[in-house]
Amino acid sequence: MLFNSLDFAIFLPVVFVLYWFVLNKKVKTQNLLILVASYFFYGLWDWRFLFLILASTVVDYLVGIQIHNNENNKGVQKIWLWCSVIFNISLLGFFKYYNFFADSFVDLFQLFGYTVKSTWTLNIILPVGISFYTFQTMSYSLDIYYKRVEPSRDFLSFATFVAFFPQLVAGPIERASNLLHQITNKRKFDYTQSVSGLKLILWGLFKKMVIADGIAPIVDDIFLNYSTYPASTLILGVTLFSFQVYGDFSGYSDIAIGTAKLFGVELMSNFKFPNFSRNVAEYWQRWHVSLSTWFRHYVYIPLGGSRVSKLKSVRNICVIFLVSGFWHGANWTFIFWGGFHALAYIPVFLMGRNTIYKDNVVGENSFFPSFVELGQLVLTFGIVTFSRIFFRSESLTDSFHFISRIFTNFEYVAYEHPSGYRMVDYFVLLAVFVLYEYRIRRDERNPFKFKSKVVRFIAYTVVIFAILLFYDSGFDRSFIYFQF
Amino acid sequence: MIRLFKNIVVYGILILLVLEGLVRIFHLHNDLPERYVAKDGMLKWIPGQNGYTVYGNRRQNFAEYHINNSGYNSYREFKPMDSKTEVAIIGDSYIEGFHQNYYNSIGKQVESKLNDVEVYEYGHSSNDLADQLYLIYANQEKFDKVDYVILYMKYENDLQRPEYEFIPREPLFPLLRHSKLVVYLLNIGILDPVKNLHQKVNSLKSGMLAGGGNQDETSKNKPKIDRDSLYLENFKSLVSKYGFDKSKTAILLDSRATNSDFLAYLKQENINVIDFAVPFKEAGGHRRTTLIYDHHWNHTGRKVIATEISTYLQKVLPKQ
Repeated sequence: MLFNSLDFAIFLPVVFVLYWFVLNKKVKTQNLLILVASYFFYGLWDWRFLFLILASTVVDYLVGIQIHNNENNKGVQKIWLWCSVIFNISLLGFFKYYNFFADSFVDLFQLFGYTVKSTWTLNIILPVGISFYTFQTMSYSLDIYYKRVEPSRDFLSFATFVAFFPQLVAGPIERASNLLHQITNKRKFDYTQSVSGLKLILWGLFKKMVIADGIAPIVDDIFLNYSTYPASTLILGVTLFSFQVYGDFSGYSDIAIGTAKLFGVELMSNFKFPNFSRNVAEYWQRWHVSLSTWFRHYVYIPLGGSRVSKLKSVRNICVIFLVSGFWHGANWTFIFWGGFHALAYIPVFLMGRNTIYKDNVVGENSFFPSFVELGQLVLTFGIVTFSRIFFRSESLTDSFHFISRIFTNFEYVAYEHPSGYRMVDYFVLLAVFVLYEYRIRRDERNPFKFKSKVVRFIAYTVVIFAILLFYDSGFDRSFIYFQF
Repeated sequence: MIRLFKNIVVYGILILLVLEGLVRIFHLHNDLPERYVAKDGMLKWIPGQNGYTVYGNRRQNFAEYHINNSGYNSYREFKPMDSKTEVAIIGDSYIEGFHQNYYNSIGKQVESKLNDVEVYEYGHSSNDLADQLYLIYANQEKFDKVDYVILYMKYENDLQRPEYEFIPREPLFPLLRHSKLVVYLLNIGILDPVKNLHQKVNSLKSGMLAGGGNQDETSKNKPKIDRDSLYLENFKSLVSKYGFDKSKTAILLDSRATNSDFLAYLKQENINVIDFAVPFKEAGGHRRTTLIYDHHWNHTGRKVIATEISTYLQKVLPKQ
């Protein structure tokens, strides 16, 4: 079930009413409702994969208890922890990476002149959201191991924590320390929280249906026919893709966070206006925050983080970026994308500028950014956008052809979409969007921060009107990050 | 909680009212004309109506229409005379031309390429070959004076009936169409899931009323009929019932979407064909010849059709 579908528009109010009006007496019944609703929500894609979620839930529930029960025996704890890690990684490995490794193995042999006929490739369907919920359940066992949380003895609450439908298929990847206690404790209806949730849902729908889906046909055309377009069009294509993927994923996250608020649950922020980052390090503090946090806590810090020698820190940075790239998809393009970001991050780290923008935003003390900041924004956006060529291309060969065409066909030709989309509409839309996001850049959880009720009303109406103006019924409206 | 619901309702109503106003101010909605049953027993548009058709969001396709005294969208009045040269193009919505300004229709473009020829566009949405041949049959006197007839045929849709039968056509949600916002939402496809749901419920209801129960089961028991053979039989039946003057009639079609046996039959019967498959391909294929949010021809597509028709007419009409 997609957030931007009629099914969800019916499903959400039904679950909301049952949750607060019918089953509001006991937290257990509310959790049971959320669990059933979550399994229904997921089962509409493919009910068979519900068994994977259930298996992941059962394994980590038992592992969590066993780790806690063997507090005095580090060795046994480690064995149980490895059970969780191996199980979850195996799920991912089989469903997401099996064919990648099989094909890469064949390619490797061919590189050395041997012809190997691939008979191992299997027709495997990638279960939606597997990268997200496996990481979430693994984090639970890891947190118990590191004594950050107590294990849950309530299977229903734990299963609800794993399958919580707003964030089940594409995050934010929650840690047990933030989400589990909210599931276990009684929730109270809060008017302000619900209104804030509805606003986030509306803003998320705008980002998805107007920004991402609006420009998607243009991006698709440019990437599909890149070999026929000049450099100016290719640069336009990858720039628009940068906005598309941002609108798509941050839109999803806003809807997820907003939906969770309707049920009295606060999820972590996943996007903090990454397009206004002044260097690549700041970008990674603002883009897909829940994944960055996950890798920092469970990969980077256990490897020594930045507390080891510079050389080892650089190695650690390379590791998390490469793993993060690989997490996105079973394709060399993602590994290159991760590697490119590592290369862009390392100089910032070596200059000691990786944390200087942690607690402030661009134009902190004024409305407008300074010229230096403006230059930093353009440079960072340029680097990130360039890396998206790897992210969007079907293969490494396509990526390098795309890049080489940018440098070898350097000419400007005004782009015209073959179906006749009016380009000026999209340029105006993006300009207004960027300016509006700049205005609200301090608070990603309150996109309609206006004192006046009338202005707020106008803002809601404009956003809904924009959705109606850019809605495209002939377009596949699923979310990009579902494939990860 | 009550406060939340109250505010959602109040804000919802206010937003809907403002959106209704915005849709009207920017004329984003489609002014569909009204129909009537003409003397010949066919559905036509009530003469004298003027307005604008809008397809796609952001007025992607905005065109003016004018319904003439014969009940068709055309800048011309249809008055065939022996002293003039007239060509009738008969078809469905593609010929009806609500997707272009009526003063720049396919017929008008054909006229501009020929000398002293009047082109009458008898186009009406959803009309199939049965409607087209019956129209000629029911207005024999008028069509006898017309020098040449071109029938636009979509193989997939237009041969499903062996004879003409009047079918009333009601728009979906007629009452709600008073709201221009609803018209716009229906047009851009945002209400497609609701429409599909409505259609599913209706077909379920009619299935239950017919006592059919499981429709799949009943259709399973029916003998399987070859679609292409059925279409060919329907064509033969229509021709024998309503006549087909081969000397002054041609069929406009896309051979890529037409069964090869059917094409062979037309050839065998010496029926003239104007095939636009190759020129459409040369013009850039489906994407370049079709509107973005609609399956009808865009400006390029219509231009190709007009060129193909006029090239053909130059060959068959005297004095060209």
